[in-house]
Amino acid sequence: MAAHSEVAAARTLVVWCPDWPVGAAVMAGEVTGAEPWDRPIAVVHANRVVAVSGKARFSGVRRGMRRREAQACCPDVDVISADPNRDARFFEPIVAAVSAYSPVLEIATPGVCQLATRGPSRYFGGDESLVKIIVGAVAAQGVAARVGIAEGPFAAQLAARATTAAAPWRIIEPGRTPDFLAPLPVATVARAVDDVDFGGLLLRLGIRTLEQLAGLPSTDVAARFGPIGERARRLAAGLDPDAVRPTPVPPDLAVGQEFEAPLERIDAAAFVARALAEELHGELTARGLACACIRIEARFDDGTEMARRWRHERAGAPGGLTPAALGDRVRWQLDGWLLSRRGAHNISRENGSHDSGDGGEISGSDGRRKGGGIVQLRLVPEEVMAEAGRQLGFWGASEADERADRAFARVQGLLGPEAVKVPEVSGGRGPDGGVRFLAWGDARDGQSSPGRRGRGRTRKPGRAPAIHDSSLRGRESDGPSPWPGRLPTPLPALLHEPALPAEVLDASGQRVRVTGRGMCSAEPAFFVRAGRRESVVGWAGPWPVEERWWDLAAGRRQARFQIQTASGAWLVVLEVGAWWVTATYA
Amino acid sequence: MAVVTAAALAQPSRGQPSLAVPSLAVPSLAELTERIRPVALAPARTLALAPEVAHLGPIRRGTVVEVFGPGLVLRLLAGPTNEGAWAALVGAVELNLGAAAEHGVALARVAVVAGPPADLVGTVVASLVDALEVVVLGPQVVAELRAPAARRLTARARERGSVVMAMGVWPEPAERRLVVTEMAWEGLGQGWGSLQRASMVVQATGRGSASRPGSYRLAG
Repeated sequence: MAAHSEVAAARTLVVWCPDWPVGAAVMAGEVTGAEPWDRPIAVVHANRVVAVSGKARFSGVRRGMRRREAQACCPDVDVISADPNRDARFFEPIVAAVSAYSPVLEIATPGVCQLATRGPSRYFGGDESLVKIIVGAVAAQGVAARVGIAEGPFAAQLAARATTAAAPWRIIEPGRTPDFLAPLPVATVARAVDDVDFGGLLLRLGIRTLEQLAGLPSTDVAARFGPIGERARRLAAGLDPDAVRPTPVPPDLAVGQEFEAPLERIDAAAFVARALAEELHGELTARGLACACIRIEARFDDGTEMARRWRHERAGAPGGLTPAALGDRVRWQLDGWLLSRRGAHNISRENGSHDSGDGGEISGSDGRRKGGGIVQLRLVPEEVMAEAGRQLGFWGASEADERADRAFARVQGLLGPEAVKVPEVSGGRGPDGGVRFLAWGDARDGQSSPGRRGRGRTRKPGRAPAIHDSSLRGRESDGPSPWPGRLPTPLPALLHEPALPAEVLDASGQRVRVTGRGMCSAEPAFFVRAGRRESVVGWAGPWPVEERWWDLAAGRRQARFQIQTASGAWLVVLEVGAWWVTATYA
Repeated sequence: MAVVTAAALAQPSRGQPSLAVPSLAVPSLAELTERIRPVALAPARTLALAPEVAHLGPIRRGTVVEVFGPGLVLRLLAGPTNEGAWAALVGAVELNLGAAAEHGVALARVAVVAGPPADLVGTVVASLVDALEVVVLGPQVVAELRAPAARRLTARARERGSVVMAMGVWPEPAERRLVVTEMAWEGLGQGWGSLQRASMVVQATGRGSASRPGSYRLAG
């Protein structure tokens, strides 16, 4: 009916690395053993398995299982925690390998990249030979890729997923894409438009296959399901979902920054990435646009320039490309570059805007650095689309989160990334109740930003003794953790860091000591603090604390006391013969 | 009958022609904004407080409150953070967030900001006041604030409807001042027991009818 706008999607090749989180973990050297690729591995996020190696799958481990279930299925499975940064970082060499054959390469997510086949296919003598070359190039990086070619990234990705290890590619003949899509379930398209409920709704309406969805009249679908439905229908029919509204890219939208001191550290790069992403997002939002494809360009201190494209399929969809999602992609890319250049043996590329050629040999453990730093960074929107708009929560909750997010980012810009921290309860025995701090934007899943779902939390090692790790550590933020020997509640309201000097004296004016058996030499009678001497009205202790005795540098022995006088109550410790006030009950 | 009708009809045509319709004056944009602005209900104008401190009376949004007593600050934060509000602690390095969690503060909505250098205090606090519902300023930060900066922050808080809790003397007259004057701990003996409960007496002073001056006892 509306045939004039029904444009078939451009022929696309999708390179898909199956179980990529597993592959990245192996490349990162997180799997020990002689044959890491042959180990059963499960990558776990929030206690759920998110990716499984072939061996583990053979033993019955499946995505979505709990960690314990996976270990029950396969007792020698290596459980590795998920890390999107790692996934992205180690995907870079693969992208570099593929980009040797096409400059216009887009990264969809870590593990999936795509390119338009029109030029490369003709140059290399047809789809089949192009696919063979690309599979070979990726295999040279030590990764088995699956490849699919079809009209449009959606169909090509499904084609790639329809492959097997024995036949790692699938080429849909030109014009046959709708036939290939026809029998597939609607859940595939619901995932592509990021609306699982939509898939459920279609099922309840009796629409089970993509063919049935594609056969519905365009106007009816749009009237009933809105932009998402129309987009899904176009995808299901093998059409270009964006053909109806090509939005020209306004000039001068690129944002960039130059660095006088070359950027070498990943955390510094992450901070810059976030700020630039905010800026670009602001520019786009002011014009009512959303970014569907972004080019990240970097110049290094040895003059090399590199560029990569990241595509975001759901840019215009509700809750699409948030600044956080954009910032993540920039950071991943910078991580990948910095890592690959750190390990690169020779860098001899001096070409122009588009990166081509391989990214050098990657060996993550190799710490050699050759001209590592980034001196200029630019974000260029390659494709934009009209922002479909986002309905803010009626009660404004998410808006409050976003405002807070922006304010914290601004303060970080003024004072540095470490200036804004968020507390998190991780469990401990001390007066701080085991609260530790993480830099804002670093670790906690931003409740405000849907683009950050599934982001792994980075856990700093060494705060809690490993013995108590799994069974006794409280889950985050559900209050006090049942640590044996922890300070009795309520906890003091003020912590003194460093501790304030004090003195505890007995009735005869002698300093109170604690024997090796944990007994007081005498009852505390006076408490001296800040030059004031007061009578003790209540006290309890000593509560011996012996922390990290296995570590000579960090180990400490102390005896805690609670001391109450007429003017207040304190937590006082005796350590190496001296008394200190570590906290005030106020 | 006919006479009445005629008289009624004759009425408008008498005197000045009634072409000038007085109510047709175009209202200004500001008037329109005022007219369609949603009615702010009393709960929306005050901070949600946890039950144990609720009887201290309302803390109006858009005001500066001086709070002397770290334990009281933590108790005051419990309500708003659980209602979806964000709180930032600026330069309040000594406040124990473990104790805050015990008092029911939702740590997921708390951020700790390092004490800014003196020349940036105003800027940093202003950007936080713009965006967050509650901003707690530590004693050093309040001490570093000069009167003009404090005046600007007060105005900003009033405009944005956020609450500034100063853990020190605000250079300007504050809306309310809550001082913990007595704190009585129970549970500690001579060499036995442990601190269990604290009851405190809070002295409230301030300006205006909403300040509810007086002495309040908070049970532990």
